[in-house]
Amino acid sequence: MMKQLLIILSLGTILLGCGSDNDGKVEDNALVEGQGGRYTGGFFVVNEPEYIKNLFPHSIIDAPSYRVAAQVYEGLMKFSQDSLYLIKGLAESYEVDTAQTTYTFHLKKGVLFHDNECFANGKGRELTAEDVKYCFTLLCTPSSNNQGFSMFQDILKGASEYYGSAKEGNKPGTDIEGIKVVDKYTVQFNLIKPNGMFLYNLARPFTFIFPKEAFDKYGLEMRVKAVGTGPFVLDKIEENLAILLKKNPNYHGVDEFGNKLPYLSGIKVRFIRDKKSEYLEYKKGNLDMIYRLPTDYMIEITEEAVKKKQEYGELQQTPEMAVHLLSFANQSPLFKNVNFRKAISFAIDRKKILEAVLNGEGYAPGIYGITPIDIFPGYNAKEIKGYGLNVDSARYYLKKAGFSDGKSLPEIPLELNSDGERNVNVMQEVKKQLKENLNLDVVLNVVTTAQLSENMTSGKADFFRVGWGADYPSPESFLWYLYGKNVPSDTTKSSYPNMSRYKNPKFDALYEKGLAALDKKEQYAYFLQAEKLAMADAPIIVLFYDEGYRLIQNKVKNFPNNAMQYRDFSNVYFVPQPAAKE
Amino acid sequence: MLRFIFNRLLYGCVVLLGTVIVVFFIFNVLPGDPVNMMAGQRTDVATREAIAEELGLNLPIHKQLFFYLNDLSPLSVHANTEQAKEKYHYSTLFSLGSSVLAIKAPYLRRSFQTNKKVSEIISENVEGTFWLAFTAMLFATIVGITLGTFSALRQGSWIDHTLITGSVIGISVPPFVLGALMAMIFGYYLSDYTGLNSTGHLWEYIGGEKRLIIKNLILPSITLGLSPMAIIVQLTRSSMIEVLSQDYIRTAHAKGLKPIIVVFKHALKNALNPVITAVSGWLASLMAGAFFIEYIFAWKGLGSVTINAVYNLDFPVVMGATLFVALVFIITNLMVDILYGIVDPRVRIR
Repeated sequence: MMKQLLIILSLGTILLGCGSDNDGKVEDNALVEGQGGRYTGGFFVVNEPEYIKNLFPHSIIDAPSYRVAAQVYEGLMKFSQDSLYLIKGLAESYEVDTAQTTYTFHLKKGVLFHDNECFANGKGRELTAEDVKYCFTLLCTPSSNNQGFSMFQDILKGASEYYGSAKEGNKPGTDIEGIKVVDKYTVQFNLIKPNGMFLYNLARPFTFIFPKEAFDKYGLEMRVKAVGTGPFVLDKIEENLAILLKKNPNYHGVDEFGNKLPYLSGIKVRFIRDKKSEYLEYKKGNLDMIYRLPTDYMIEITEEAVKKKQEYGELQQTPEMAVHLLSFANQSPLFKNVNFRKAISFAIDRKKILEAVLNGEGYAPGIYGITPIDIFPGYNAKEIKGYGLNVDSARYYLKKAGFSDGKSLPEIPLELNSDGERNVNVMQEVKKQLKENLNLDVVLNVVTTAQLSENMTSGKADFFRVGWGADYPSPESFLWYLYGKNVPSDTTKSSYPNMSRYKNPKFDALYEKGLAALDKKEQYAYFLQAEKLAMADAPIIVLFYDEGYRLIQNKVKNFPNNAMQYRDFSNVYFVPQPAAKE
Repeated sequence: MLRFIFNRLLYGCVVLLGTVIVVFFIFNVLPGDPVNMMAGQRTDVATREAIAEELGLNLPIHKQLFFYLNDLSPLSVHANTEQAKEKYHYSTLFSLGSSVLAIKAPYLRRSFQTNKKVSEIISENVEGTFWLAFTAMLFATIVGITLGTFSALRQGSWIDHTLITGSVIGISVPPFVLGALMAMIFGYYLSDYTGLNSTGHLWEYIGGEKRLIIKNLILPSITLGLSPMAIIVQLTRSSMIEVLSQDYIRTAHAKGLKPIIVVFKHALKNALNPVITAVSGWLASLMAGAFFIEYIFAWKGLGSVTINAVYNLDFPVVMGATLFVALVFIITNLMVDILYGIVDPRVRIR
């Protein structure tokens, strides 16, 4: 017994003994200066607090997967890193006819897919219009792995018909009417009616282009095998730990000085879940950037960022495309009453919540509409009249709703998920204010995220907390939450995304007009009008607009922050730093 | 002996079956819809229905349970098609019309969230957790027994008091507090001296190369091992004190044996029995309970995978991981029963 113990002990010592001369840091490859003061080389190390779900373009539904896939794949269009404008991706140019229903795309020539075993000789072949047709046809084919049909549903001619006839593995006899390959590098799309969102849809992960060979060879395994045309090649995946992307030597991009893109030798994505650990790793220089900083350290971070910027990197803030709401079930017996909804809306002091409860961690109090302010240039969300604290109005509407004070009302359950303690603290304050201002009794029901999402969609919750983030940069991403045409009249049936079950035909008509608008200005005008209309009905309570913080090391250049944490690493480069003090 | 092992194995199978049924029903009464957790913001209703159908979530509960057990059972009935054969890798025993009776390795299905095979998820993650639990246990046992013996020999002295107080603290501090403290103190503030990282796994990519970094094991395993160590100190101490007062110890001393031989050969060997019982139970529970440690130190292991799966309602992963841990419990218990007989001949195995 003792002998065995001794053996185990000595084995343990040997195991612990070796490998200790490794310092665990990623050594930067030496930086090489190119044209125009740009440097090539270096590994960018970034962290995601959540592991990716699936890298297959048609199955990408979570942000971490999107951010990894966006380096490997490209679509016809993409977003600019700085202000999220639509820019050309794989398209060299495109034309839209005057009726705005025919889009003709000319593809860049000489774009190669990544070298991969799925090709006959292992060498990536050139991308052609046929690849676009193949991917978009697959996107219109029903499958449990296809979560993106809505990109083309009722937009592209023949898409819904194709989807219908391709059910249960049938192969439809005809192609999709709206997709036409004109020549090797030209593809044309025909829409049912003008749609202002179509170009946006072509920039989103569902419409990334991949080769047929890859899907045929890997099938479901495309979740971790990626073959695209992007600036980086998926090199290694160590599940839950790290993803390594290395530079694509054949990438088609070139900068304005004639340097070949990308500059970086590679990207390493780590998956540290604990925010404090992540922050410590950043301070040790093991991460090049972190976003969403740990709340407990907020004060320390803001102080230090000002004091010692030299060694600390830069603290960047931007309004984020996310809004925190309280949503009513607008068809429930109690909240059907618009005056009652207004009473509650007027009784909440959003400014106090933001300042006292959240310590300023948020962009602005939610006194306008559902669309966050200062994000979409040309969309003047501040024009929208929302609700701020006004106790007199609150009491007036409560009386008008038929309740002279809160006493005659039952307790109102408010459902939320905890997300640390942040949500609970905010809702405690809401509860307190409703008691003080309207004598309303609210009970907080803290449930799991899974339960909350079930209760919200199925109509089991009447009053609940929602955090709503945009999935692409347009006010439509927010207005969509209130679009009522798809809401079932049976309140026990599931309703998504409009979990508020707000129905207003006038709003729906304006929203649809906005979608079909011929230019952005016209579209925004319709959307703004729709949003004003909806907010007058108080179908939701906007609490506050979110803010995104990130810390970034000084050596990182050309990597502007944006409101969506959208990332395009193709133009990012490092500059050499003076040696740190000993 | 063989019959004993056979009986215990059979008993183990019943426990596994019980686990399947209990976890299955707990999971089914949990509020929430797995499809909701899998679908994206823009996923249409038809796709949601397709997902539910593919996963069998639209079937009545008893059918779902039956199909799951059928997938799990080595002897099972499957459709006689190429797809089914590829899915289950079964060998046909005999054909029953359109279906076949077949034997196969238990099929744990694929994760709802990532579509990856659960068996792969477990085998990839178990290594990290095993080494973590093993080294933690090793640390706890060696240090715990040493300190416990020492404390028993110096009973009533200030060292004894300090150790006992220290171990009470060790038992009471929750692992997530301890983990955060350890990572911050030794992995960050003192990292220039200790050379340790505040996060990291056994295997890391440096540049583009995969390397074994064993020092990353030190902080998490000490953190995980501290509380069992404290318990072992207490157990060893009280058990030693009891044994040291026995007649045969006095006899050994009277024979003129060296004190060190009396303590280690005669006393400690007998005092270790309750300690082994405790230790054996913990190896399995540490494997299941390393979650916070894995979370704080960004360690890749079964604990964090399981918790994440519960959160996302990823039924196959929860089930697979639970069954795996149950299996580890059963096997360690069996081994402990056998080990008892070796350490203490007074225990007879029927």
